[in-house]
Amino acid sequence: MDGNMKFYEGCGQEGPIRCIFLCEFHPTAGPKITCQVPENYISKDIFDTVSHYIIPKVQLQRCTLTVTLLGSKILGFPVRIDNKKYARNAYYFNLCFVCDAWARTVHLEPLVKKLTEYLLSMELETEWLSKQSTSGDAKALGGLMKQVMEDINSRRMCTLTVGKTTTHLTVVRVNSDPAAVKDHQVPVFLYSRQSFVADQWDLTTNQILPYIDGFNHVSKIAALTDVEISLVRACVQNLVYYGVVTLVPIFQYCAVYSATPKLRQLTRCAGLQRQCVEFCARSPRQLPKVSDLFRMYAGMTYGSTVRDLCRRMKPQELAINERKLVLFGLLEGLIRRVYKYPITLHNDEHSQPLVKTYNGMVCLDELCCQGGLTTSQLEEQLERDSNVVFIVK
Amino acid sequence: MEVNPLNIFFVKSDSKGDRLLFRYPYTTENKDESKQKKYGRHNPYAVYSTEDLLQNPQSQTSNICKGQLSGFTDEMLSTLFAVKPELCNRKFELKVNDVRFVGHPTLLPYRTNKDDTAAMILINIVFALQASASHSIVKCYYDLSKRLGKALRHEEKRCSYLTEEMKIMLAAHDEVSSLDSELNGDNDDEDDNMRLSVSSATYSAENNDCGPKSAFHLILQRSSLARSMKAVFEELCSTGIVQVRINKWVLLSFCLPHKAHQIHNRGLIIEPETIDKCLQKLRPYHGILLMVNPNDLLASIPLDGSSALLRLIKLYSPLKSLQTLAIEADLTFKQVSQLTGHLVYWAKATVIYPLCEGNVYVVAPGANVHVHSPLVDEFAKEFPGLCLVQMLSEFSLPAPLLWFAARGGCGCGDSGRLARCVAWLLRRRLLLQLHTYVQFNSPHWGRDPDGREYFCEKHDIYNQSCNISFSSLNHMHLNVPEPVEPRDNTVFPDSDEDYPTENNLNQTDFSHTKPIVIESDHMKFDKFHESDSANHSFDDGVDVVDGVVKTNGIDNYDDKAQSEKKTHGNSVDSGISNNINGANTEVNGNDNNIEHSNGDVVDKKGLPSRLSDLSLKDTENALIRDISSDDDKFESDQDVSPRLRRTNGLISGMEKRNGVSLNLKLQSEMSFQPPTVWALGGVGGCDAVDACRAPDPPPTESALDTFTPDERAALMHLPAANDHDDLLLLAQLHKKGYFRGEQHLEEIMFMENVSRSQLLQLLDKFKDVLITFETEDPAVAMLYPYQ
Repeated sequence: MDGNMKFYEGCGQEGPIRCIFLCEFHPTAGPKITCQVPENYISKDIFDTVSHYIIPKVQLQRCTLTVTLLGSKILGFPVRIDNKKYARNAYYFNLCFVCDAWARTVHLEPLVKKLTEYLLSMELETEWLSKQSTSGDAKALGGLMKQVMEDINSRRMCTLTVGKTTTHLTVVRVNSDPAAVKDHQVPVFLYSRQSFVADQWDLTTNQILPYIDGFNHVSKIAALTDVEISLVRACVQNLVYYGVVTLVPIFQYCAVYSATPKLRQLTRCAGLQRQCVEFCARSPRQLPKVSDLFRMYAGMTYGSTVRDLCRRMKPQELAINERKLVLFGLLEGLIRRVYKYPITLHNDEHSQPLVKTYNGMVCLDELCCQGGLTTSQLEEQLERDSNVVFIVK
Repeated sequence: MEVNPLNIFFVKSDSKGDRLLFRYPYTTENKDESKQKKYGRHNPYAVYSTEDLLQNPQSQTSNICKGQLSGFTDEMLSTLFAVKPELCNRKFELKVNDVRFVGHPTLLPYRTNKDDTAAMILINIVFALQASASHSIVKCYYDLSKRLGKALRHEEKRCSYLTEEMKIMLAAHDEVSSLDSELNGDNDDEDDNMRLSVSSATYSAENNDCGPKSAFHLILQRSSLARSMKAVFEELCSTGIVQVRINKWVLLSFCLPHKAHQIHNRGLIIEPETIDKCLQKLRPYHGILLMVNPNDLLASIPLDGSSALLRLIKLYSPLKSLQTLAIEADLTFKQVSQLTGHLVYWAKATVIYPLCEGNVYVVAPGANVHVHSPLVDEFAKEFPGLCLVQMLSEFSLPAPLLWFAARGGCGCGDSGRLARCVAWLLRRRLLLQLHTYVQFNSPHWGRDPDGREYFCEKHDIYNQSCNISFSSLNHMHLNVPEPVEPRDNTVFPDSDEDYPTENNLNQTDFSHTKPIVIESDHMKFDKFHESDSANHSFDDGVDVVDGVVKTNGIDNYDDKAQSEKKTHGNSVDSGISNNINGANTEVNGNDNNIEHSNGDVVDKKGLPSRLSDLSLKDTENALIRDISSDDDKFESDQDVSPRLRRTNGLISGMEKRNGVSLNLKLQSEMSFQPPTVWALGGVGGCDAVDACRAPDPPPTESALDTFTPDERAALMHLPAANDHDDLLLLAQLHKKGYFRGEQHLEEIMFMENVSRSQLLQLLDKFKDVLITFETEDPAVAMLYPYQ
């Protein structure tokens, strides 16, 4: 399994479903595999060694169980149905997905659960499962499992129809919750707008979509669309979760950026260069030179604002759109924004109620956005207060 | 926090069945809750949803309740952890809802009562973690479980420790259960209820208040193994560093780096894989910064710890580069970098560029500083009269520390205080150093064939292929790769000169440079590494019982023996190290050695023999001087001010040829690559020799071969190109690939023995073709919290 360099345990990548099997507790033979797709992926020996994690004791029923043993990962959701009609008064079954040990499987857990519940309801209604297992002819079940495996592996979604019932299965990426969206942040599409299927999204999102252009910040979008700002925030956060947009800092000529170690990628990666040239051009007819673009990025450092840089380099003469240049750099991680955080010293003594204090957690952008001031106004105001210092980071 | 364990379990399984012998923590205050639940269920006003077509009770989705494990009974867990024999001695990983159990089931023979027939028993020490814990955390816990298993196996073999401890535990369990049955004789039904209701408490939790304690409590009082496990659990939760002596015999040292680094920096999670990658990028000019007091660290190292480590720590200074440390501690760079790896892994140190006055710092992007942060008070305590916020605001604009000190550094009186202050800030990851990188502005961007199509793969520079990980603790090797370029095999002896000149903070630290060439022969050091770096513990944990940690002393001894045996030995460095050790008796033999080896080297390189002729004499001279004045060498080095030496060496290249500088000569001998002193110019070894012979500079055309015609055309238009020396230096540096944005100025200075001012002048003169940019050193930035 670990032969492939790319796939080692903990690589965090998703892998295909290797096998799906249904096992049950046979009244005489004990745990056994009723049906397996593909055949004999899990051998009898392996199954016997792991069976007590697959058909577990009572307390573990209806828990998502994942056991990593012998180079594979088995996901299951064991279920027990209590009913007098079954031998031993109960019917135990578990539908399991098998993946490689290196693969990440969290995203499959809801799928296993939903599929199991679908089978459970069919069993309760028509004894769909137990009939097949007692007759020994599990073709219908096998077909269903085969379909699930193929469809999920290839399309990440699947629609199952058995008799008159239908169920839909989709793999949903499991991400951690994105951070709260701030008013001064700017949403940017991560891929082209054309591939975005608008009717998958809610009305508010559709309303704000045209204004997400990589330059409008959240509160401006709210103003332009006449949508309540908290709704805009929620929509953007939702889009961030699904990886449709990302958030970048607002573009200002007084902003300071700093190159990151990734900048050197621009010197050697032809793909990146091509993208950068196309993206940052003022017009598609006249493309800027990579060396000029690199020079612009290289000029970004602590203490020099975009305004200074533009004065020095004159990007318009180099056919460079500096706004797009900054945006590209941020998206590709070639540069990062350097924020200014005002912080009030000695705020404990003779605190005047009229003077606002700053705790160093809020950057200038955010303060400007809150107060509806321009950066220069705010900076002027803060410069006058000798108690306020700036931390630039 | 997901780094902390939820629980530790000890399960055995033998012919008499499986049993959960011990768990910690075992007390849960869910007695009230379970009561409430019971009453809640009987609420007459509760609406029962008959619509729920799934007859089973709603499934449980979480087994963590208030940071503690819930919903598992001990019997259930013991059946789960008592794996089939086929699954023994390999990783056991089971995830139930949001809890992940990880362990290493160990099968070991043990003596049953009287008859000596050894039966097999399975023990499994399982940790319960939050399922969201990253894979590398799980791996560390697995490793800990494995080591505990090994320790127990060893102790069982040695003195039947496990048998005794298990007897105590089983006796305690029996005692409590017999008491239980007596007490619960009258209220059987309630007992049944308790058993049915899913609770994580032991079945005797109900009786907590009336007399007998739970069995686990008794066990904890009676069994030393249980106490060890408790200690393991508590140390994991508090510091992440476990130092437990099992049965007062086997010392188990373990570090969970994810946790250990948080002691110094809250929220900083450093994974072993990150340390691996950082180590791969470690260069001789990097330095280390200890997170703890060196004396405390020395005290905490066990007696059988590696002597190399002790020496390294004794010589430690944040002003020294790893190379200096290596030379002073008489270690190879490889050894030092591995020791650095250990120190970083154990959260005792971090990697920095050595402190000096030319360093440029800015506030780190991840620095979490605000008015109420505890760091403000800590800083004020450490440096009375200084304010952290003010200090940081001084770093808003990047400027060399030198300027900072000149301005009085916001109250930092002397430069020593400033250095301490910067070290403090670096330890807290509040400051980040900026370096200047240079890119040659070639007209053909992206003509390099590499990386053209691997655009996406190559994007993430932090994501170099790192398959074998630092955390594979029980495997023998520490993953320090061979340096990629031949340049790195050689450390330039006198390149240290750069540091003292820039560094007036503590001059004596850099005042001497022992000429030594590290790495001529890899094999013999491999031996050393194997034993030393088997585990990332200062003393090798469990395995230390069997094997002695080889110290460098022994290794040196081997070297000597080796070099004596082989008259034609090609181990250059062993000869040198002997010389330095003052083995006067071996002078002749060593000289022979060196002669031969030099010949070998030169032949290998295919250089004309005149190089060796010329240089050998110098070597001998130098060596003899070196040996004879072994002791006063340092003094003489100190006498010459480093600044003076530098000016000697660099500004007047001509003098260099005549007036022999000790270090320089040695370098030109020992290094397996052409000398790179600038005025000697030359692109290859032959040119160097030519330069030595003839005062005329080597033909510029050959030097310019490194440029493409287009580049040459661009260069031609520059006025600076008229100066031969400048052009040569440019060509030389370009040829060596320093202008690809990979190496910062300090690295060029270090590797090529040029001064900063010289480089800056060059950059200025050729600013039309050289683009500079400032950013952090990725190797150092890796150990900063993610932004």
